[in-house]
Amino acid sequence: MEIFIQSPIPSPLFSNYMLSKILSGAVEGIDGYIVTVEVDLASGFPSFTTVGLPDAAVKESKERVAAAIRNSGFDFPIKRTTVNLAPASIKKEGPSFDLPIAVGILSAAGSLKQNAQERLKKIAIIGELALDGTLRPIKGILPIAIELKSMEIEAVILPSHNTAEAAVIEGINVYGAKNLKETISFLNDELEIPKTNFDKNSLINEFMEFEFDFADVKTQNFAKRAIEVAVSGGHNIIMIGPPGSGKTMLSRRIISILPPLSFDESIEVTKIHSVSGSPVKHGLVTKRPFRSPHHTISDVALIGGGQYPKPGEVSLAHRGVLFLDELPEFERNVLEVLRQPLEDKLVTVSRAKNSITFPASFMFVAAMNPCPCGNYGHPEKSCTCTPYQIQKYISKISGPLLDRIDIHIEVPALKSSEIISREERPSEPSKDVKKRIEKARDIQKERFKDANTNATMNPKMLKKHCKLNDSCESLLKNAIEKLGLSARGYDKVLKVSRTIADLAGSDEINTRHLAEAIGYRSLDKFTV
Amino acid sequence: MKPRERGDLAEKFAIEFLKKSGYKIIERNFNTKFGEIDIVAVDGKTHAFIEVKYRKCANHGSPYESVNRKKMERLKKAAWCYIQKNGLSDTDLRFDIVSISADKVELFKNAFV
Repeated sequence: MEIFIQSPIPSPLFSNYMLSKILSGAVEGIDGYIVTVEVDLASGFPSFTTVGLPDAAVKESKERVAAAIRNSGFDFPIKRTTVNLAPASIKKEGPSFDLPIAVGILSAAGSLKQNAQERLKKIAIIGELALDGTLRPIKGILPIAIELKSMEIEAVILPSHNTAEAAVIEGINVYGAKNLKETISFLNDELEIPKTNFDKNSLINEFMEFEFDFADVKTQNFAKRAIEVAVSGGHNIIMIGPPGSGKTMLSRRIISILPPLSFDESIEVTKIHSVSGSPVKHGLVTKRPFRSPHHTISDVALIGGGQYPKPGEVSLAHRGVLFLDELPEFERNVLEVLRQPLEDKLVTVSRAKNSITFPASFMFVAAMNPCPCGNYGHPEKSCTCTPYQIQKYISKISGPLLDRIDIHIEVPALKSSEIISREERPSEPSKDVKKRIEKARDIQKERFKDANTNATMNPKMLKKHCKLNDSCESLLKNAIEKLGLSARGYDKVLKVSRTIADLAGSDEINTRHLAEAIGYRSLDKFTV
Repeated sequence: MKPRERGDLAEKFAIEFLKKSGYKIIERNFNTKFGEIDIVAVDGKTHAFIEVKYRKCANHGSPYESVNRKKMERLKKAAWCYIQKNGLSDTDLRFDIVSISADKVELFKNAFV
């Protein structure tokens, strides 16, 4: 039997080594991983093969790469070209491998100097190419940069649009290139590209400006108070009221009283938004997200999914607010998928090929009418719905879902006199409310030592931090019997009363705090 | 003039043209059971299999347009025969087309793969 061994030593006929390795990265779920792009140029009839589980966009990259190389003034080698994307076991998607493949081909073809080959061992390259060789921005840079840094890779070359996002990660040098030619000149040390630096201070001004303010909302002081409590403790809230009573108006203003994101939270949020491809200004998401999907949204769009799972609205609302207006108009199955994220603060999306967990720690805000015509309980208009219609409408929100909402409030319609009246006393502006909320959050931060809020207390913490005195206990016992609270409802009342006590600056929960918390369970008696 | 003679004339013309362009001719009219390779030449380090096409007028399209998918496949098979016979498996290879019409000569390097 004959055995053929292919020697790795280049034959004397060809002076340069025909293999190159380029470091790159990609995203799976919301985490980055390192991809090594290997390019081999062999003799024989010219061909171009990409292996390593590429999807359509990766396979197409050969056309972009060939055109970009030619249009950048280099020769595309007439060789049998094989590109391997390692690890070969993970499906690769998207056009972000264009640049590493192009650099790999040019490196194997000998367009790079010897010291550039050495540099390539410590530099990662990522980017999409246009046919003329310019670089286009890509998705998911932040998670890739985090992974590159943890693997102790010194530097990364990126499309110049993406540098701000990657520069957030300290300890890795970020270079933004405009096109393929610049990248090659930079590797050859013929061109100096300045490092992109991240200025934390530049973000601080961002925090302050909001379009809407609570001062715009007339009256509705009860609802405002409930929202203040909800935001202070990160509680979920549902508002019920006739059309035009200000539910949507109030909800839109919640964002103006949310406490600012911490730096670590910012990175968490930016990671998700970066992967989903939503534009990220100044590198980091600095405002808490406010997501209000339309009621025609599908279940997959809400919790995330797809062949390569992408984060859904619940994850895009991570560390922010998910607002569902006209709650009963949503499809039943769409609402029911909310149960896991509301309880566990994360969603697991399982598909045939893999299963991915996305964070989904959001404050849930919902608004609905009390009946189909909307006028049930209106002080001046009469409701035209039958009791059966009202029952049917309300029952679209299932008990288990309602059980997971800590605060239920009624937002009454304004009387005609209230609408016309010019208030002498203007409403409280958001920044004053925000100050109280930040104080309450500080107390919670002290208590839990991390990003937890009262709403996310586990049973052990609940026992430790929500001790009740005798008079409180008898009040709560009474309430459970009258309202038919579930065990979870009982926990929610305790958590909300803890938040109310925090807002009042009180260490102990007293009957006033508890009574207010019980008052926020109005829907429990509605449905039972 | 018979078609065969006309073809020969075009090929001779092409050879002169290729020599001027720096090719070294090593084989003419290499026949296999799959078809014929007009010219085998060396350009630098690369062996090129060259198909010559001639058309008097452009009424039926340019000469190179007549090299269709079927013709390419036939040329590839013929080229493999040549590679086997001459032990060229570790050499750079490619296909070129020389297209000759009444008013111009065009050379397509690496015309197809």
